[in-house]
Amino acid sequence: MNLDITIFFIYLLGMLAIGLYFTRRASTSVDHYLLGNRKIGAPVTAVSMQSTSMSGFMFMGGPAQAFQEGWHALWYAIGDAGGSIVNLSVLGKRMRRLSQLIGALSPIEYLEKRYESASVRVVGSVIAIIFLFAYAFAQFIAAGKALESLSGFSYELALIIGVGVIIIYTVAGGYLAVAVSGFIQGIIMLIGVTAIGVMAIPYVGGISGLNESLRAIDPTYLSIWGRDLIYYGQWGVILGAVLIYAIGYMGLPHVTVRHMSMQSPKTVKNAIIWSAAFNQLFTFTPYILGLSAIVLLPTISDPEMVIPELAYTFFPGVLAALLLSAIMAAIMSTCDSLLMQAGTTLSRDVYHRFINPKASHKQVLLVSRLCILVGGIIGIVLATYEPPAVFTLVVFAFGVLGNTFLVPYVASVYSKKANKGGVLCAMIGGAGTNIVWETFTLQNVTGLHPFLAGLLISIIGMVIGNTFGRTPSPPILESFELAKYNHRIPKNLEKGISDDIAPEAKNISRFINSSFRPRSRGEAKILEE
Amino acid sequence: MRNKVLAQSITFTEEKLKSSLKKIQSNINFAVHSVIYYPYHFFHYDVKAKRIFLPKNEEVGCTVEPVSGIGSLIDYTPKLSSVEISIEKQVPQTYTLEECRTISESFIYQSISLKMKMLSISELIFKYHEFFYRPYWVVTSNNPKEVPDFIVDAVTGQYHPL
Repeated sequence: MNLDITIFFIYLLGMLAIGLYFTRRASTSVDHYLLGNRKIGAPVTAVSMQSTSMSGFMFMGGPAQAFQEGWHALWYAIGDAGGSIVNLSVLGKRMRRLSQLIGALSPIEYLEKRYESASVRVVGSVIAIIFLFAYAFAQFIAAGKALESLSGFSYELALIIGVGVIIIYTVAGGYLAVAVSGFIQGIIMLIGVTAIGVMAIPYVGGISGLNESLRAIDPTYLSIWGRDLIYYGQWGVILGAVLIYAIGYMGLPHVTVRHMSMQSPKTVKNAIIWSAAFNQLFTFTPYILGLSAIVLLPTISDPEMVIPELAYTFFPGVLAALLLSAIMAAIMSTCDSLLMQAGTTLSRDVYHRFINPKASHKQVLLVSRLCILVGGIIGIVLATYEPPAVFTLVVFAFGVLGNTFLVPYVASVYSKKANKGGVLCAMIGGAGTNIVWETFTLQNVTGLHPFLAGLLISIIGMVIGNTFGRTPSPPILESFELAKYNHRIPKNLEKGISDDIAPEAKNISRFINSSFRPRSRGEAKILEE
Repeated sequence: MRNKVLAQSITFTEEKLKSSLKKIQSNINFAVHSVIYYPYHFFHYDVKAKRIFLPKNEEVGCTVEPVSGIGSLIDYTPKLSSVEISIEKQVPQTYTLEECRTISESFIYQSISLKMKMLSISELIFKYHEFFYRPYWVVTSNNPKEVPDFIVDAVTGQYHPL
């Protein structure tokens, strides 16, 4: 066993030990519940969230795209940098509030309850499961490649070991363990990637020097239209590249689990803002490193290995191995989160809801975990025999998920008329268009990015489909109105609103209006100095 | 009419409320109308699961509010004391204890499935249950067009418009 792979295993054991320490320490209090714990602190939660969500794509897919297409690839980074902020400011608040009001426990259940249709749940679940797995497969491939680089094993062997380690890591880690170790991984990755950037970018003469060198190799690397001006004049492709991450995030199925604090009021609200800020630090550097590699590593055989190669070029083997270990661990973390979400969607939204409604909770959990196992095996087989590029697979999976769910989620809180007919047309039309566009490479013929094409069809589907569906019921319309109240509240006050107590607010409002008569305004104690 | 119930104590007092709201929105005068007591069922479970190294038994707490039947994960066991409260200030329940217990199990299993990383099938063992009320301040402003009435959680200070 070589030194690098030894470092990797020591690193993993170290992460487990840290997780174990924090979990055991938190377990010593008899009235403290780990699962509902929110006292980790906003920065730790944020860095952990971010380090477990970027990983494979950010460290392999993004740099490879920049290496192959030049500055054009930065369109994706621009969208990515803005994506989490757009998500926070446009959709996040209203959707979280509405999901609390209608009592939805999962993203797909949210759609079913909002649009009052079981068929919405079936279509949404099937698409979510397939493409969450596709997203996870991209992480498998990235894990295999990272471990191959670390260990010197063949890709196939590295892949099997990598996925095996993912499973052990999943079994061994608790929730808190993952949050704390995710934080440390995030910091190592941030320092590592920044350090590679600090070494590599001056080496190529800064951004100006880099551009000069790129111009000398091939001037079209500098073009916004891609290398060899392949997308020349195709604004539809450019717009799609920006939009896929800028607004595609809004289409990813996510609903937060409701929490109730029993002591100090620490919420994850700040964590989400921290996470968006942390995202800005991570987004651009890997792409710039991909561009630098055109100059520094022109003969590299696999462009997805740009960051590992640069790490070994500029740093002693031990430090490079440490950075790669952190990347590998983050890939594993992303991967198990995706697998768990896909497994839960299958077991709850399909198996328990439609196939076996009388299933016990244990059976439901068993189906969820079997789904992860089967998905893992299929993933290994696919990733071994016909591995697509990480970037291609991530963009495809992300694009289809975005095209399926973006319009239904946005319409759920912004269009009172949106109904079952519209949402089914939007989901099927959006996903189908993206798949057809990718399969038959219609981007080359039409000049429209698959994501943009899917988005347009999804919007059209929603508008036309709405004319065939029933108007939402009065309780849904009432919740819809409550979810959008914020336009009349001063900004300072609005920032601190806790969506977790939205159901209590709704019920207390009804209670007061029906039977309870509080003191009149005149009698009330005025809270002023 | 009053009855004796278990409730959480008011830790976010009128004075704290007053100074917090002043800090947030100094140009608005706020008034406290009253305290409303909102009902919750608290369920405590043990989770048994096979995991490497980590504690095999983990405790999980969950509340279900029996007005609309919605579950929540909680961080600590609520500290409760016996108090007399006017019935007019208690929000009435619509879900029975049995219904809430079913909801709580389903909610905990779903949360485990999403948040706890273990491959074995965990066993949920019910340990005990408490029924309690949580106090919420009802607050109004001198400018209802700009700031609607809202509730403030009298335990944590979290708030939400009505």
